[in-house]
Amino acid sequence: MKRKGRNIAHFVLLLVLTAGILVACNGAIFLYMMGQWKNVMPVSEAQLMNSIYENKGKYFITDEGRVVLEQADLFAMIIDNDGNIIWSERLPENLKHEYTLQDVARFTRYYLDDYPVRTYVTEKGLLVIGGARDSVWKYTLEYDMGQIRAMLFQQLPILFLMNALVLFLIPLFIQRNWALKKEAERTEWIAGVSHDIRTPLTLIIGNADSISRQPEDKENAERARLISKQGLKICSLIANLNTSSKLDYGMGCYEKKRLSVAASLREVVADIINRNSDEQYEFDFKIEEGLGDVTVKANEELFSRMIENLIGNSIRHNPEGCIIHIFLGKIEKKKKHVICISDDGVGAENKLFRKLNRKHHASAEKLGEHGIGLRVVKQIVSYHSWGIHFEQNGNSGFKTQIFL
Amino acid sequence: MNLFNINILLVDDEPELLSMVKELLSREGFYNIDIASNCRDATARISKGSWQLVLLDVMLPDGNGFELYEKMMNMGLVTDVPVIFLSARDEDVARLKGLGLGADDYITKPFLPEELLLRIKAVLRRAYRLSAEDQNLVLGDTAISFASGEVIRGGSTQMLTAKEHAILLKLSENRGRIVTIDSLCSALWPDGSFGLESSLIVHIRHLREKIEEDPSNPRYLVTVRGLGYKLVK
Repeated sequence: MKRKGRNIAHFVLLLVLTAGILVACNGAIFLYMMGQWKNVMPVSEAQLMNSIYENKGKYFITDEGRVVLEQADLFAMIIDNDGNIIWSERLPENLKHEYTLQDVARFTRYYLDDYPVRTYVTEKGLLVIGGARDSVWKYTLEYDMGQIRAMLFQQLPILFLMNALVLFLIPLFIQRNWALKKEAERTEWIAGVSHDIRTPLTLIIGNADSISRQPEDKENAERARLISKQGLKICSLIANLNTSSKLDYGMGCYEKKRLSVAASLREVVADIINRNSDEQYEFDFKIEEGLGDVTVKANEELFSRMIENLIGNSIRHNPEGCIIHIFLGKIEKKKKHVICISDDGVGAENKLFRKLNRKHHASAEKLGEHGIGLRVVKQIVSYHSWGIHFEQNGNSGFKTQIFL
Repeated sequence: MNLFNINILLVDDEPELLSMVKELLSREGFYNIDIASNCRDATARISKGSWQLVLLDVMLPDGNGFELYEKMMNMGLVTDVPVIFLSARDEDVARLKGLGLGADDYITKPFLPEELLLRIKAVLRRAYRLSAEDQNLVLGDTAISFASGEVIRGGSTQMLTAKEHAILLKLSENRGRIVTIDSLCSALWPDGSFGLESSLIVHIRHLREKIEEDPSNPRYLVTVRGLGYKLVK
């Protein structure tokens, strides 16, 4: 859980950071570009009109006004109500003509013979200020108010949501890839360690086993037996660790095929009894009448590991010995088969059963001594979409039911 | 052919493991054992000598056991020789590859010495059609000869039926260990043993009448309830 919480915090931080950087970058670029844009019309209407004066029915421009127009590379003219030019300055030759009402309507907003122009209605007449050809791009926008409202209240929120989604998904994608890579590395690492540990373990187990078979030195034989037993425990731990990490990250190649449940159970249990020389454990194996031919689609290796871990759990926690029951039965109501493995040993606290019965895999550290073995059992159960329930077996003892 | 007389080649890069396995095999009674610690050495030994069993590690310093095995197969050097892979790689993929190449068994490390010996013997029996048939089985005051199928007790002789013979052989090959109902059935009916458990029980009952003093209270051929049968050591 801790790890999950940390991952979420990590992810949110990454999200906020990405969003922040994106907004800041966009803002900065926008502001910079705006700053770089020059004013298209550096001469204002009022400024120009002030520098135009009338003398005996004719209009003139002051010297300052002329200089300003020259510097800005602009021309200007005033047209009276009849369409005649009553004043002009720097006006291109081809524009020096009379203007009809249609002409005026045409250039009011756009171009006058490709010259970008602006028009102002003054008391002297229609003031037209224009620039050089191809120096200004003009466009008139016209939108339906209904559409603008729709855009503001319907499309804009969707657009915003989409942006937010993209912002959300990009870091998620990065984070996921990152995590997957790490997980793959971890699984490989565990597989590597478990590979390298096998040869030394073979030597430990093999040599201890050969010492334990020397009858002349009973004390050392007993010690060697202990070493061999612990060596086998490490083997199973390593195998569990490997299986767990492969199942966690979907790295394993666990092919499922039809298995006979009874035969598979018999094989695993017989194997455990054959390997286990301790006589303090009694095994009670029962298949309910008529269930001898029940089959299930499962991975053989994982199925064996699951049963081995459950029986191993009973053995490990009851060094004084116990009876281990292995039972295959049927639940009529649910039309399901159940494998029940139970013992009459010391059992566990209710707290542990509650933890074990939670949906998500509890981490090994929280399960205490029962650790990785039962964790792997839960992983195998969920890999096959089976059900599982742990409980106290009567007054004492540990009971696990697997619903196939 | 004597089981213990065969030439065995062990190939592994770990000297301690080689000497451990060699000691284990010697203690069991095998005495013609040679070792090689890399592909080159193994190739030389295999092409020179005559072998009846090769134990081959997968990870070798100058190559891998799979490739070495394939090469030897292509050269026709190990076509009739049983080969067992001994490997630290336990993935299904590796196991299936080894067996798919034609190896007789694939044993993953770490293994129990007893398990290794059992599996070696099983491979040898399969490969050379040897069986415990060479030996007689003695259960208390009952002697069983697998070769003739005779059960001799208190001066009288009875014959084992083919099925009883097969059951007793399988159990005596795994003496002291539980043999599951399923593996007994598949030994008796190799073409499919589904639903033949009740027949097995009948055969076991007849067998007990021949080998046990008190068939309803067997001392040697015991039932392990629900699981199978065991020939007590």
